[in-house]
Amino acid sequence: MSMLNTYIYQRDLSGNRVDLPVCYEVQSHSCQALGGNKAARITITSGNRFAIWDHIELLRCPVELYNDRGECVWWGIIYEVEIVENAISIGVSLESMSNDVAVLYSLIEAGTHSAGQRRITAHASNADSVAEYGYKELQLAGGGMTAVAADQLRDTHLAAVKYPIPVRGVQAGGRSSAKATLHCVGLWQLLAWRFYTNIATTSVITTSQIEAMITAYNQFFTGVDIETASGVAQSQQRDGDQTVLEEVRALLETGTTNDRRLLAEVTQSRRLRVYEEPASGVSDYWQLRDGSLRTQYDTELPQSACVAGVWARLKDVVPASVDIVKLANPAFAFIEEMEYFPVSGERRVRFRNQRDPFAFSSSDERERNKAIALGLINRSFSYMTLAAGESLTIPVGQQLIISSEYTIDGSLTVDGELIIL
Amino acid sequence: MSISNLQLTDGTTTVQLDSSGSVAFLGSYQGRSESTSYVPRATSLPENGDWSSIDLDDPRNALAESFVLTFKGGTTVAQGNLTTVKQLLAQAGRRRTNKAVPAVYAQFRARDTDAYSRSELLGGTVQESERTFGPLWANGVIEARISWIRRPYLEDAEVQLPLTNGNGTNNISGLTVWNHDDGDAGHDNYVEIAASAITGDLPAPIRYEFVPGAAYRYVHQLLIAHNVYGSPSTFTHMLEYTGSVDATASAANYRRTSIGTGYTEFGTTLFSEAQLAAMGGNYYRVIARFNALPPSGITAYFQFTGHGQTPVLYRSAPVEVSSTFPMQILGTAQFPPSTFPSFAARMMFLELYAKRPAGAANLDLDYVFLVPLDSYRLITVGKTSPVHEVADDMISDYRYSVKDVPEAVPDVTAIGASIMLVPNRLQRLYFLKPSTGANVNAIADTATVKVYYRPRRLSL
Repeated sequence: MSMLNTYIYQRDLSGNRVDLPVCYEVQSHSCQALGGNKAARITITSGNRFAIWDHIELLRCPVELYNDRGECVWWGIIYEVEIVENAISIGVSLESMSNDVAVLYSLIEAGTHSAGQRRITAHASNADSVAEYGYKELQLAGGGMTAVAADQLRDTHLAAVKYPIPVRGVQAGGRSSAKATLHCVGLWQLLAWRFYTNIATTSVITTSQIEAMITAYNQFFTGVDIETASGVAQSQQRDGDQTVLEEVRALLETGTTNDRRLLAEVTQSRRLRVYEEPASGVSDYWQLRDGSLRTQYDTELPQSACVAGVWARLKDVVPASVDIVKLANPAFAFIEEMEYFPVSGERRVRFRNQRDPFAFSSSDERERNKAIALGLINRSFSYMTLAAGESLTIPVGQQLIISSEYTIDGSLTVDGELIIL
Repeated sequence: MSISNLQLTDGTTTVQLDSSGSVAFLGSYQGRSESTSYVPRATSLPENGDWSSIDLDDPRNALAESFVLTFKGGTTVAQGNLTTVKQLLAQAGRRRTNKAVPAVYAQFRARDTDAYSRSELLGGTVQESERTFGPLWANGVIEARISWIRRPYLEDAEVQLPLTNGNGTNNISGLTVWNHDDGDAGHDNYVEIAASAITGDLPAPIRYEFVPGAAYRYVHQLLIAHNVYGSPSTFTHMLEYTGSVDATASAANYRRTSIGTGYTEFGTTLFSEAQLAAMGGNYYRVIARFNALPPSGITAYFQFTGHGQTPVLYRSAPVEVSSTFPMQILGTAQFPPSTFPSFAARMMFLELYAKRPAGAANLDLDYVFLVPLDSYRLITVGKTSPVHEVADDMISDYRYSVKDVPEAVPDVTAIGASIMLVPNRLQRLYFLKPSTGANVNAIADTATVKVYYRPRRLSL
């Protein structure tokens, strides 16, 4: 077992610490090949009651996790805070917030009933929320309506969701002093906060497009480092229906002329680093028969750290007698994600083409996903409806739990798992 | 055997819980066969025998103890003392969520002539005996069972440690350290503590006072490292690089390299078998000092190579080199790697590489500091006004800096675990201010250091 130390900093990215008299315990942290640090879950095990409740105010504050050697093993932001005291739970999440809203609608001209041209309203934003958290954009699906109604829908929705909205729960019989859980995400996730539009039609190298996207819509990164040019050109025109994250991910997946993906990570100094997926070879890590991993130099992994975006080669498992002429060599597997649990010291690995073990999570995780899912549907789309023209994708490895009250008229793509209660 | 003297105290209020205080004695009234004596328990050894593998200050590792106490001296006196015990135990519980509340200690000594050892209480309860409200009360006696949880170790009185380096031997008046370490006499950035100076049977945290020299009162960050298992007296922790002369550089020399668009070697050091043996496979952080601020856009890494500088035994992940800070952490590694077994004729090279994709530029490497990580702590002082002292008390978990007025300001934060001195081993503490002003690291800065600790033991 190795313990990690949690350090929280002020939201303004000044680097000044937020030092509250509480004890943190890191439950898990994870990283992924596409994006670097993925998530971390931190519980507050004890401390001053007022200081515990102060964490409600720390959304989007940077977080760093250090091991006892003073190495930073994970960095990101606080995305969600849950506090439970006796029978009451309060949850607040950046997921529920949007401070820059536009409405997608089909125009109904005055005096007519027919929905015609697809339109989008001008964006409206709340300056205070933007100054505090940065832009978090939402494109709301409005169905068929007049331009005036669309503008009003935009303004009404913005007023409701410009700040994170607390969600209250009641656990009958609950009797505990204040406890809190911080759910953190990697900085990569912040690319999903803005939609990308480009009206230029010329073809540009995809890695140059990535650099341009980040530069144009940058809020939190200090720079972009393209270590490998893709060599692949495509049209740079984008109609603004996708977030920067979705656009960048698509270009990374397109890959390079070496037939390999591009990978990305956000460094501790908030630089986005884009590089070519390594080929299997001298940089491969080793996996032993007990499941443990060692570096390419056959040394231990850094204490409490996760690693992804590398190949892992079985060291002493597959007998030489196995005939692998007509299948991919089972001794080699690419690490897509890794999650580390400091309390137990366990590392959980997801290899490429492997079903996501994180989807089959604990009942606590399932309840959390359910709460978030309900909130997401309620706040990102109109009134528990996936309307015509709206789309939602459940990605591989993710779970969405909805009730039968939901109306799905739009496009629901299930790459992961959909559970209808 | 039972304790001769046992008292509860928060530094202001003290209750004697034995006959020496004439208000209570350990054990039941008139010799009833309850638990009649108290001896501090010792916590169990960890399975692997390594105390560093568990956190003794984690409340979940606290010890629970219970014993019977009899209060005498009349019901009023007995009740008053019992109330004081209850209040102190409640205070101990409150301190767990509010460090501003004074800590409460149980203090023990086996004989009247011994010094007290203490153990911090984390909470407790008092339960009066059923006999109390009958015959005992009539005799002015209250019998109660005390149950408490406390830290699983005892601490002796605080001791100042004699420190040694090129500027003094067994110094307790404040030993001078420099902000670099080269061959010049007295230019040492460490203090050495003799093996005999650390007693007890558990690693113990320290309290230190770092007082900058009058002309060097800028302290924004302070790095403290601890070497106990890496042969501190023979381990070379500073690697100097030469080629160009500058009196403001460590050893008055640095190495200038034109860094190209591809990775360029900018520093190489050969480790002998003696140095490799001294490092012993422990972990070290590699920190480079640059004689001038590095140009922007540089990425660097280090690697180990074997005989003839091939093959590569280890390579660190590339890091961006700051262009606004004169010192850069390049990474952490095991020196030598675990796959490099001990052998009389082995050698290992430390090689530094950097590249600048935007175009060639000069990089001036002054020295590399191999920072031992037996303990490691990076202090940040919140304000940049002149600092007269940095105090970091890892025993009581307080930190502050003393400013001009003078006033103590709690604006010091720390990254890293407590520095834990190991009994009966020679060890060194290293001090370094990475920044001595805006974008500057001056090697000529000095400071004086005092170090204190409380010997820790499992039991008396």
